[in-house]
Amino acid sequence: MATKKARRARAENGHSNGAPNGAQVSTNADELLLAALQSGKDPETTGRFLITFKEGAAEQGLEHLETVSGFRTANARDFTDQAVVLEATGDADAVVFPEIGVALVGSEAAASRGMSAEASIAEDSPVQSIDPEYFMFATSVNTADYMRGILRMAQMISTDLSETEVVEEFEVGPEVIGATPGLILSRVPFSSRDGSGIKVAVLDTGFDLGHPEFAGRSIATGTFVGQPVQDLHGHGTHTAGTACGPKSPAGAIPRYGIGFRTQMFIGKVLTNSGSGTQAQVLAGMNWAIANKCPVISMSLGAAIPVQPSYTAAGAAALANGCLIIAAAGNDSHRPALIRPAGAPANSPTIMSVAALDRALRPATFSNGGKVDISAVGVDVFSSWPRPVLHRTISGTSMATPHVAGCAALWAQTSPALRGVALRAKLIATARHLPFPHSDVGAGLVQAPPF
Amino acid sequence: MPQKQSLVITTSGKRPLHEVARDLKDAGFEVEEVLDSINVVTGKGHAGSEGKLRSIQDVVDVSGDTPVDIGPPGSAVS
Repeated sequence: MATKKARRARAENGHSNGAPNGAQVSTNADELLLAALQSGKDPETTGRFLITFKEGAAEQGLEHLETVSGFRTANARDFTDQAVVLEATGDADAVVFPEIGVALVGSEAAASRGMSAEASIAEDSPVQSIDPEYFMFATSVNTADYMRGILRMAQMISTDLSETEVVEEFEVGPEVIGATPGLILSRVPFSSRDGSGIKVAVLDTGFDLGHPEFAGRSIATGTFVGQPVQDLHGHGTHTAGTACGPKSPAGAIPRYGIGFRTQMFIGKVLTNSGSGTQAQVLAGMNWAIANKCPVISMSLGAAIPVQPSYTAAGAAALANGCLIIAAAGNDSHRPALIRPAGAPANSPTIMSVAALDRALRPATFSNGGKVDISAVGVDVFSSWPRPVLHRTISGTSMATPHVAGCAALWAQTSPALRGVALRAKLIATARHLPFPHSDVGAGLVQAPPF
Repeated sequence: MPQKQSLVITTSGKRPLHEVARDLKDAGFEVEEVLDSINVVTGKGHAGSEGKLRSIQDVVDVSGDTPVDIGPPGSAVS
């Protein structure tokens, strides 16, 4: 990897390299996305522009950018193997990719020269088009496909349940088809509870605070990793969505949230790259307990033995009427290999959650051993940061907020159901499954049936 | 001078945490967070200082800070 200072344009009409906070070519993707989300404008575009040169006119275009437009440019050919590191382009106004005849231009540099996607282009210019640069995200879920999948899945569950002795049959009526399988199997749509008055803390990668399906919700926030709470990873938005998401998302989106009137406490204990330290996680737990959150959801962990600090935090939580619910971990490859639950789920004072597939079997990746309860954690549909809005992913991380959401509904039924009592209620009401306790704990979490 | 490392110190909760934190500081521990809702103090201590810190009244455990990782965005399972 090499870095190269931008070439100084030969023209005399020098320009500044834009406002310090503009979308410069060296601005990293996280900062661009955060700025886009905070601006309230189009979150799909970065603010930068891509200039495409006419075929065979790349060299002429580079010359044009430097001499006519007065850009400071960086050239991909100046990087080892042309592997451009945008963050290493320093004060360049533009980065040119001669092999593909394209240049990336910063927002301020473009604006100061009157460049935009709408600007007219002279016929004799080497420029073919100027287009906004878009963010790239993982493939989003197609709603129509998803709904077809839901219907297929409901039929599959019905078939599975009639063919096996796993569990008693229950009807999946048309009125609940509009909910995700995890919610249906935990009988959330049948419960009249909504989590009103219950604080639910989700300690994760933060949350998309501008997600349209959470507009008007009470959301308290804390960050423990030195980054804004705004979730640029997605994991935290997904887990919080399951525990606290809306009852009736707009359009054809199925219900994916459980405690839709809970008071959300979002603690960012993992960075936007999905990592953190035990000390940061403990700081988040301390915050959630200090705020007397009866339910604390932690879809995170490490494959390490029981940690006294987590055990102490779990005990402090119970003593303060709070219940910490944590993911058992995803290190197994069943049936050949079953790894033990990681920390903090392996602490005796913390509730450990295993993941089930839609046929209510332990998920192949789900850890075992110290497991207290389980929930669906395979192909879970929930919220995702804008502009994607929803995603389907798997893990004990996805099972955990199903338990947290149901815990919030139970907590709403009685002020006595806090801490140890809430834990006991979840275990007593779980639906028994024909698998060892070390795989599924007390069984599938259930929402209050009233 | 031995290098400092991040440590997590768990206490019994029987004594006010700020008193324990003060004793830890006197023992050369660099206190970063006093988490009084969970009886934990985090910070940095010299390598090899664990025994000395563990001998402070009401300290029940001294462990190294460990990383927590759910994987990068886009992980299939998390």
